[in-house]
Amino acid sequence: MKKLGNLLRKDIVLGIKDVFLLLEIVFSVIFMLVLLFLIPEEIRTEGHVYIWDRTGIIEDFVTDYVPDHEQSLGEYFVSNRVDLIAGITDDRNAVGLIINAAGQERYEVEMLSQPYTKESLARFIEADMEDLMNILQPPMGRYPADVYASVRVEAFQRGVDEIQPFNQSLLAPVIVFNIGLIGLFAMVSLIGQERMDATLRAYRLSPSGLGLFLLSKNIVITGVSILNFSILYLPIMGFSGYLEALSVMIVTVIAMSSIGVALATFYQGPLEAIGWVFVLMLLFALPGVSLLNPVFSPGWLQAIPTFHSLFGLDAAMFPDNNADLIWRSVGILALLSAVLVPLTGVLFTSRIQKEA
Amino acid sequence: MKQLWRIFLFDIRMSFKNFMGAYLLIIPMVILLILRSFLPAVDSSSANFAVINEGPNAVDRELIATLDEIGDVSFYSTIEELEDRMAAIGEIEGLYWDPVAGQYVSLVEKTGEDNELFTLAARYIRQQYLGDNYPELPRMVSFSAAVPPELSDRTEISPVATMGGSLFIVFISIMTAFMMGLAIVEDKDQGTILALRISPVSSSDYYIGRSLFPFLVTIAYSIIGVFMLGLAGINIMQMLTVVIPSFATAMVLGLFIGGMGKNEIEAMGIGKVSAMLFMFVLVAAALLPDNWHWTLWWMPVYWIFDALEEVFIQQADWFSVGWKSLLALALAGGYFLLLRKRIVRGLGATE
Repeated sequence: MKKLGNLLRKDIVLGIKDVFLLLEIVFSVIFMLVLLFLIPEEIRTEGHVYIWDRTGIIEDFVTDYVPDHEQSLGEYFVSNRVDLIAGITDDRNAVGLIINAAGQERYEVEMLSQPYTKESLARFIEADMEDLMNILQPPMGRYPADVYASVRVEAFQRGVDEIQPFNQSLLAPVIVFNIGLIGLFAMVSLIGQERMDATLRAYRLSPSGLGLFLLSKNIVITGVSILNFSILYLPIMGFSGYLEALSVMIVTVIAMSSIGVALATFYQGPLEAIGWVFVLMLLFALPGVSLLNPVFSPGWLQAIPTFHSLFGLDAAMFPDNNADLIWRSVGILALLSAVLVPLTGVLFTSRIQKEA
Repeated sequence: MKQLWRIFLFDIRMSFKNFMGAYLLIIPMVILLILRSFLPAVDSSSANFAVINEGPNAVDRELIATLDEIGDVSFYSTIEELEDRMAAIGEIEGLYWDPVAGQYVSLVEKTGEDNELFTLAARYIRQQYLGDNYPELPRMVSFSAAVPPELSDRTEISPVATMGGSLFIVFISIMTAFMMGLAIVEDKDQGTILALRISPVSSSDYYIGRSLFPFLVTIAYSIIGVFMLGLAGINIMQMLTVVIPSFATAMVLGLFIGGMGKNEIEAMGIGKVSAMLFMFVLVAAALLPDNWHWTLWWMPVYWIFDALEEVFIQQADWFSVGWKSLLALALAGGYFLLLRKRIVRGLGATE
């Protein structure tokens, strides 16, 4: 215990002296301030539709029943073609719709698309417009009553506000990449530096084991992560989901630190390992796409550890009936850590023992 | 110039003697291969349907074929399996036939309190039912889709691919900056920087000479990346007009990391937070609406990303490429001047 205490003291002093700890804290404060005061809450990242409804049927329905339609549906009603073109020119993901009456119970819908708009989207909008007009055709719609009975809509949850503040929705990726990956960078640099300074070689001659050496670094990195996490999380989210999110973050940091130990085992210093750190960073960033665009969720993404970190954090931050998701993420990452920590520890120890 | 050339050749020789040369060539290719296999998958995602295709709850084949035209359909045997899939991560709609009620059940994860009508699948089901049972009722909507003349000069390349190209180039710049910074710290550790002081080689010759190889790698990979990411057809010269001055940003970042870091731990720490800041700016540039982009104007990497985006969507003119590249260059120069004293002092310092 005393040995661990001494090692901890050394790692904390080194961390402060090498400004690593201070830098992490300062940047967590900066990211927190940016998310809190600079990034707006009310941004939609999905595509918009600019609609010039010359019949008024769709516009009346939407504005009556969905008061926040611009925010929740991404639908903007315009009163002429010029405004419609301006909208889809500015917004590269948007499409435009011009709706005209074309006689008794007949309508013409012209979709103005981008050159890269997918055919499947046009097909969907066509079906959507046909369905809407059959429902909304004045005065009572055109569908016979039994058409409505052909399908029943059921939901796991009803009345859930699906729009999350944009700045809060960015918090999970920021936490994972700024804090979750601390271990990856820190282990590579801390061990690399100790190797270069030959303190690692000297340590081999001391009565302490290399396991204790790694444990001390893990404790310091986890401690810094908890501090940084609290700096980022509490001002933005308050105590809502704090402990659950913290659990996800801690197991993420431990898993990433193990990967950092693996890199530090095989590479002499940060310069040698940094390329692979970047490759890993890119791989670990891929699940972020699924978080921001949930339609993209192939099964193979789950093989990337940060997938569980991101979705676990998201579930903790925006609770609905997804508590199992938090604990499943914690479980998967804890299991991964339980495998990686001893494995990389053994690899590291045997490799260091062999080093001249 | 002769000194510069000799340092460049020496740097290449040394790079290939140790692992760094091969490393600098291999890593961007690995990153490119990851992006190349990942981006088409993102691009093709539209809607996901989980349907039951066997037993009493099976969905009609014609309906499945229709849904398959607008999204990805996955099949399940029982309602429990389907619900398990829906409880997992990702946006997906479930669909099965309820033989007791004689109707389809369209299942979503979340919806509004009073929504009894609208899901993706429900629209198709109602229309199929109407067509089957009321053939005398004609379609109400005559639909047409076209690109308006005002947008006809836009590229057909998807935004995912164009953004992937810009991200790749900026990512490579950050990586080379990181490597240059760490190499400087190593040079300081090994006394190379001190040795330089008593040699005829000037510090600027040395740093420029040592940056030439990463610079050429960045240029080469920018061109390779364009072809591998399906962006061929863009104006390569315009892209190079952005990429070449953008290397100044990488150099300033590299010098900053190398100058400020007294050892590799510090350099890694400074590099990590700088890289995170750069990545944050890129993500913000990609997600924020245009009227919020002013919050990012202070970062040279924003202008590089913005100019590259214009080039990749083939909307760039030489004036806009020119001023954005110059602005990125000027900002990088400004930051260098601002930090010059500290960088120069740091470059001479060792532990």
